Amino acid sequence: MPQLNDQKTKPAIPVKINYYTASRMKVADFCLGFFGVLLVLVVLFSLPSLPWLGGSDMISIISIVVMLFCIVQAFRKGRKFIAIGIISIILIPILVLGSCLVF
Amino acid sequence: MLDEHYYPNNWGVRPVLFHFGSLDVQSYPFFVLLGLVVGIAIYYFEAKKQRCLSENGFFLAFGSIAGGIIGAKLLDWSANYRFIIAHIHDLQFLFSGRTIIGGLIGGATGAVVTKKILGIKEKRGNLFAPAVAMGVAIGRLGCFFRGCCYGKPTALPWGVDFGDRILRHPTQLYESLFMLVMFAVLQKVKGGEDIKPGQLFKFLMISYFIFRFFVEFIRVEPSAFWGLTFFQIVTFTALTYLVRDDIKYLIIKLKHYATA
Repeated sequence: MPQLNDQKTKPAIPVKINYYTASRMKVADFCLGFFGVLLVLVVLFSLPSLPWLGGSDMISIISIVVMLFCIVQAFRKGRKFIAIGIISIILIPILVLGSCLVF
Repeated sequence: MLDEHYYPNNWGVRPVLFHFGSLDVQSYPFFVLLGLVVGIAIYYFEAKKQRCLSENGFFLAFGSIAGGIIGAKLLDWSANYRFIIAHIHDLQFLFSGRTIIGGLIGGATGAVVTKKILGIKEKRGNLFAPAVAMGVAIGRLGCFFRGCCYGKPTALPWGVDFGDRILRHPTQLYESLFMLVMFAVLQKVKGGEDIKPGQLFKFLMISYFIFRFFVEFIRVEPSAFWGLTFFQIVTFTALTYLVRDDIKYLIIKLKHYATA
């Protein structure tokens, strides 16, 4: 009865290993996502315009693509607090810059 | 819309709040961030007090804040879509502009979406409501100092000059005061035994939308349809959605009385 044996050995729902065993690991991952992206953006935008990057527009597009990739990868690896850190650093400027009215 | 909303750089009661070394601390980001931090702190301590601090609670708060920020931008972009399309390459215009109505709707939607993704059944609206009220009350001070969201000219003694030598309704302060009163009311009633889960947030949204509908009459906003502003139409639609069950109940009752 090979089928029955298979059913016994394979769990019905794939077991997810929880990466976070302590609260400080969550805080560390959040800081990694938040400050990591902040640092990368500061470095990228302070670089002199590099011809092969195609100016600041291209840097913005590359940054967005890389950040989206990092968010997806962080969720896939079970390290969701890195993704939350990255999303936070993207959202905060949207919240605080400018004012309530378009000017 | 731009002509009515345009303001130069020196516009506002105090656009730069204070100087920190060579850094000019702008009043708008300062108060908006302060409102966010205070709101999160109120939510955290309230959850701690009620012993319901959990990872799910954190994700729910994060989803609501993210939804609120996105909703605030999307509704503003919808209101000013022509202007946004015309300035699509200018980050200054893209980042500027947001509305608290969109923030409240987006926040509620964000919470619903997060619950669905994580399979959360519990309702946390009663915890969120006082935090949101205080956050908005503080955030609106940023609008006042920066000089956005101002009102129509007035002869009332508390009229404020935002930079064009015309005394105007400080509608930002009206909203701030309203939200402070709402915070006090919510703090008072939150412990009541007859309060259902999530009821306080619904109460806050309904109260704010009614208040905002009437404040729009004294705000500098162009009329969109039938003499109403875009935000009045949005608040009216949102209100109708929020009280739909009560309207249905009222219709059934009226039908019952008509047939009896």
